Amino acid sequence: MASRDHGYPIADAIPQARLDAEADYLDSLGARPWPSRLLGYLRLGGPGFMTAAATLGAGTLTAAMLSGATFGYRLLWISWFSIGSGLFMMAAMARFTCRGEFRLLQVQRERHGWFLPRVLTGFVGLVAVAVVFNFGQVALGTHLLESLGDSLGVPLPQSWNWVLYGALTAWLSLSYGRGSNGVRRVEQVMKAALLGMFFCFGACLLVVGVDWPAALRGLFVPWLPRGQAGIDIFIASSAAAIGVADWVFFHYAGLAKGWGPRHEKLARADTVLGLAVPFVLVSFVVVSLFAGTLHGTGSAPDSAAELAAALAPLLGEELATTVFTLGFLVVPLTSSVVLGIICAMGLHEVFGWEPDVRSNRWRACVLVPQVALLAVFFPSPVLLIIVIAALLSLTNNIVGWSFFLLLNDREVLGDNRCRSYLWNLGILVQLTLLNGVAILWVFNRLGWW
Amino acid sequence: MDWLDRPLGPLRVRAWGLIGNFLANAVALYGLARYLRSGEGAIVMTVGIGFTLVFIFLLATPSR
Repeated sequence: MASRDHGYPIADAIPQARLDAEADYLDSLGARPWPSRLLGYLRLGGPGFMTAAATLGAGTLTAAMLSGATFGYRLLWISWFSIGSGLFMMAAMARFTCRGEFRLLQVQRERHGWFLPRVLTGFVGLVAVAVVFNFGQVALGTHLLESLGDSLGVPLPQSWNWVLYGALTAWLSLSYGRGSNGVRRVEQVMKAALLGMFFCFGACLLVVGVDWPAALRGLFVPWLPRGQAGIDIFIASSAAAIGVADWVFFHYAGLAKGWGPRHEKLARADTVLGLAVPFVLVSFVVVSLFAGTLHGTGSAPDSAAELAAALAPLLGEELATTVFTLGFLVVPLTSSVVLGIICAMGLHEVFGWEPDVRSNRWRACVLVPQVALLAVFFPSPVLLIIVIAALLSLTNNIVGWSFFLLLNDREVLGDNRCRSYLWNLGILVQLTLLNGVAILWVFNRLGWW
Repeated sequence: MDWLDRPLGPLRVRAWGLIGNFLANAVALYGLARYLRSGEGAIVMTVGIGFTLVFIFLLATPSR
C-alpha cells in the first residue's frame, strides 16, 4: 500500500496553538445561543465561501439570467434543490477532511488505482475545468470592466484592461496560503465579494421590485416545462450546481486550514452557510431581477454580456446600471481567483508534488489558467470547451461513485465511515442525477434523445 | 448486509451495485425517450425506475 500523507503542507504555516484555540472555541460554541453560534461559524468558515465564489461564475449566472428571462420566477425552486442534493456529498468531503485528515486523491489512488485520481479527478475534474472555464470568466470580466469604465466616464477598453484583470486575480490567487494568515485573508476577500455581489444585485432588485406571490410559488412549487425540455433543464440544472471541482476543492481548502476532527461541525456548517445560502440567495436575486424585467418582453439573448446589456435600459436609473455591472463584475473575478488555486492544487496532486506556496512551481501552476486572458484577443476555444464539458458530463458521476465507496470503506475511514442510511441515500440521489447527465449526453449523440 | 462490502471478482458488491444503478438509469431514460417520442416505452421506463429504486435503497445501507 502506498504511503499516505497526514494533513496538507499549506496548513503548516498556521501555528498549532491557534488551531487548538479555534477548536476550543468551536467546542464552546455548542453551548451558546444560535445567533452567537451562527456568527462563530460564519467567522471561522471559509472553504464553503471559496467554493461558492467558484461555483457562482459566468456559467451559473448566465443560466440564472436565462431562467428568469425565459421562465420568469417558475424555476426558482431548482436552485435550492440542486444545492441541497449536493450537500450530502459536501458532507462527505467534510468527513474526509476533518476525520480522515488525508489527501483525497492519494487515498483514491491507493484504493481505486491511478486512472480515477490522476485522470478523471485531477486532470479532467480540476485542471482542465480551471483552465478551460476561465476563458468565460475572462471574456465576461474584461467586457464588464469596459462597461463599468464607460458608465463612470473612465476609459477601460478591453484591449488593455485584461492586464488589470489578470494582475488582480493572479495576485489574489498567489496570496492564498502565504504566511499564517494567507488562507484566511483570501477567504475574507471572497466573503466580502459574495456579500458585495448580493447587495449590488439586491439593490437593483429594489429598483425593479419583486412579484412576491409569483416568487414564492416559484421557490416552493416545483414546475418544469412540458416534455423533453423540462427533463433536460431538471437534470442539467440539478446536477450542475456542484461538481468534482467543488467537492475536491472544498476538501483541500479545509486541509489548508488545518481542520481536524473537532472542526467537523464547522465544516458542515460551512457547506450550508458558506456555499448553499449564498448560492440560493444570489440565484434568487438574479432570477427575480430578470423575471421582473426581461421575462415576457420576447427579448432573451443567450450570452451573459448581451443579457446584461438588455437589462440596462430596463433598470431605469443610471446608478442602478452601474451597481449591477459592479456586482456582476465580482462574479468572474472571484471565480478566476479560485480557479487559479484549484489548478495549482490539481496539478500538484496529479503529479504527486508537495505543495509549497512559496515555490516557483506552485506560482506557475496558479498562473496556468491565466492563459485564458487570450480570450480578449481571440474567440474562446469553443471546441475545447465542448470537449471538456462532455468529458465532465461523462465522468463526474464516476468520480462521485469513487467518493461514495471511500466514504463507506472501513479500511479508509475505520469507525468514521458513513453510518447513516439517509446520508448515503442523499449521495445516491445526486449520483443518479449525475448518471442522468452522462446517459443523456450519450443518448443525444445517438439521436435517441 | 455485510455482503455489500465483500469482493465479487475485481470489485466489491457495492461497486457492482453502482454500475447496476447506472444501467437501470439508462434503461429508465431510454424508456422515457421512447415514451416522449411515440407514446411507447412506458414498461421499459417503469422497469428502469423500479430497478433504480431497488439499487438506491439497497446501496444506501451503511457498512457494518
